Amino acid sequence: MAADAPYREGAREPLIVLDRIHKRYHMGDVVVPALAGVSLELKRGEFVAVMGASGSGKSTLMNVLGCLDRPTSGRYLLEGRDVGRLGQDDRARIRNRRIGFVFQGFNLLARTSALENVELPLVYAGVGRGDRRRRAFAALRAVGLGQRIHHQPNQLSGGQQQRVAIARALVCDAPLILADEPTGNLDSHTSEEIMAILQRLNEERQRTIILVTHETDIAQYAQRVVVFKDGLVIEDRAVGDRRRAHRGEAA
Amino acid sequence: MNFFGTLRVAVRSLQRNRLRSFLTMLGVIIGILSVTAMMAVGAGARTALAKQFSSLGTDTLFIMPGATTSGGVSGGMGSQSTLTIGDVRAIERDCPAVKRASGLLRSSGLITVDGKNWSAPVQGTMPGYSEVREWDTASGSWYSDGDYEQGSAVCVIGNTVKEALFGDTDPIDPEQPTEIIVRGVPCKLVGVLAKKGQAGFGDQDDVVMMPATTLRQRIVGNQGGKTDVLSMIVVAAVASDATGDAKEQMTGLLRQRHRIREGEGEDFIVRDLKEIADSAQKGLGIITALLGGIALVSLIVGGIGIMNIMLVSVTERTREIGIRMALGARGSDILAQFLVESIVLALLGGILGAVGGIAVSGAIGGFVNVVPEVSTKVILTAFLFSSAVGLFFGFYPARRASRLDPIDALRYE
Repeated sequence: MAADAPYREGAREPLIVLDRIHKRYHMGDVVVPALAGVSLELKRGEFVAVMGASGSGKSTLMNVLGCLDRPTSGRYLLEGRDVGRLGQDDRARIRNRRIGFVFQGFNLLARTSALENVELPLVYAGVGRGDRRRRAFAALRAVGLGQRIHHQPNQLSGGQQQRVAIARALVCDAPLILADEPTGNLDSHTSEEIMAILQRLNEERQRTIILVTHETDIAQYAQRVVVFKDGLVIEDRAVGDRRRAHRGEAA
Repeated sequence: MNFFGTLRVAVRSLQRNRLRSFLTMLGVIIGILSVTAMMAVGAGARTALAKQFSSLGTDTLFIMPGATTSGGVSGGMGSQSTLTIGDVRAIERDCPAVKRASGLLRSSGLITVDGKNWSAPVQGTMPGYSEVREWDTASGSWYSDGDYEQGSAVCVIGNTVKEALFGDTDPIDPEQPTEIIVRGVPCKLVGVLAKKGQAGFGDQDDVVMMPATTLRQRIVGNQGGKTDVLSMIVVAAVASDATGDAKEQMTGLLRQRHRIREGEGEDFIVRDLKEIADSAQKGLGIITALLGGIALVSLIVGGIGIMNIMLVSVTERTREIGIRMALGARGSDILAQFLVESIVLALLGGILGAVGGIAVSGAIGGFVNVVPEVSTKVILTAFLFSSAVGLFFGFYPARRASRLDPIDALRYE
């Protein structure tokens, strides 16, 4: 199955191709266009920041990219496969194997240890228990949380919780990480730590990262910035003076 | 996700709300408990009943006096017996399906021996009674046919009477015959009957028996000059499947002997023991089914409780469902998770209920003197029913969970 093809290191062919994506919502009788024909291409290993005011369509774009929602029209190719038309179960499979999510509100399971939270995608991937443990532990170590694996979310700080979430996004070796305002609930110090981890994953592990943010200085950590307005891309530029995060304990 | 993984997740989420899980289970526990207890006690009662009837003999028939009609006035059932010694002789002679027939004259009275008193039914029997009832003596022997012909003052007593008057000592001693006073008449005690046990109509062992002629001549006297009237006729058919034929033949013969015209009602009733046993069994079966049905209603109420809590749980965990879906859970994974949770809840309730039911059936059994029968059928039914309840009432909430939109679910506060 193409969706499960192993990630080819260093390949620079497009990971994502969006071709005239439209998304319209029906609010009673009124049709609200959230995406009005977005075309975009992302190469493997890119670090892209998506910006825009609320209602600009960036959240809808993330839902479409994350296979949580289907475009009304247009094509969405992920690793060369048209995933925009897939059924629910196939999209669940893509989300499981090819995409890692990092949310603003962390979205960890309450009263569940960090280790078990990270194991969750592997559970749905059908990975055996021992293997699951090992891989989840490795992912937690990669984000610098090797010591706190048995802590539950309410025993962890915001930054630590977000690192657990990043470990969870990593654990299935998905080539794409979608980070929706990952620093929105964090102070600037912790935000930098999180950005350091993301940059490292991008550079050392060649993960493609799409980062939604409304903060310009956070967007500066990316290589490329795409700005949305009224459901369209109004700006698509490389980041000139890219910020480097120095703080971070990632191994 | 595999089955055990799903099971583990389900058990963990139930553990998080121990009190709530237990209270939800309580409905199923009570339901299964009552079903199990009812079935066990019911089965025990039926066995006990069957045992009682087999003690009476399955090839046995009883002819009892029915309603007499004299001059257009109908007397009540058994108001006046028209059964006679002649009827017994005729049945034995003319009915090929009858092996042996005997008659019984009923009375009662005070029995005294050595200053001890006991009031018991006193029965006068015709020859053949012990054979029809298949009733031997535990000690001594029955009186002889000669005693019947002569109307000798002899008697045998049932086990209950023996215990009341003599305790554990055996009153039968060939060297030194015992005499008991039955309604003022001294009778020689020749035998103690074997224990027969309880039957539907009372303690069969609480009885004194003597030849019918003795009872008539020495004790009750000739009532209205009718010297040959009997209280009841007992008949043994040639085989236990010949009772139908025997019944038919005897009815025809007695109608003829009692000069009952075509279309007129009989003045006697022929009762086949199997028939009585069957109807009693049926009655008991209906009562058991009825009680079981009521218990089943409580099981349904328990199921509704599960559904209610599962719906609350799905709403509470909307965000969790969204997270799981975003991370790759399919609708079927979510469905399985909630379904397994409700089945575990119901099944656990079922197990606790079955255990409780066994305990309660023991208590009820002790109270009503029945040995409850806990069969594998009962246990299997409990398991089957409780998992069916979990499956049935858990399906709707689980389906609702599985159909949530991941985007909405993730946004749910």
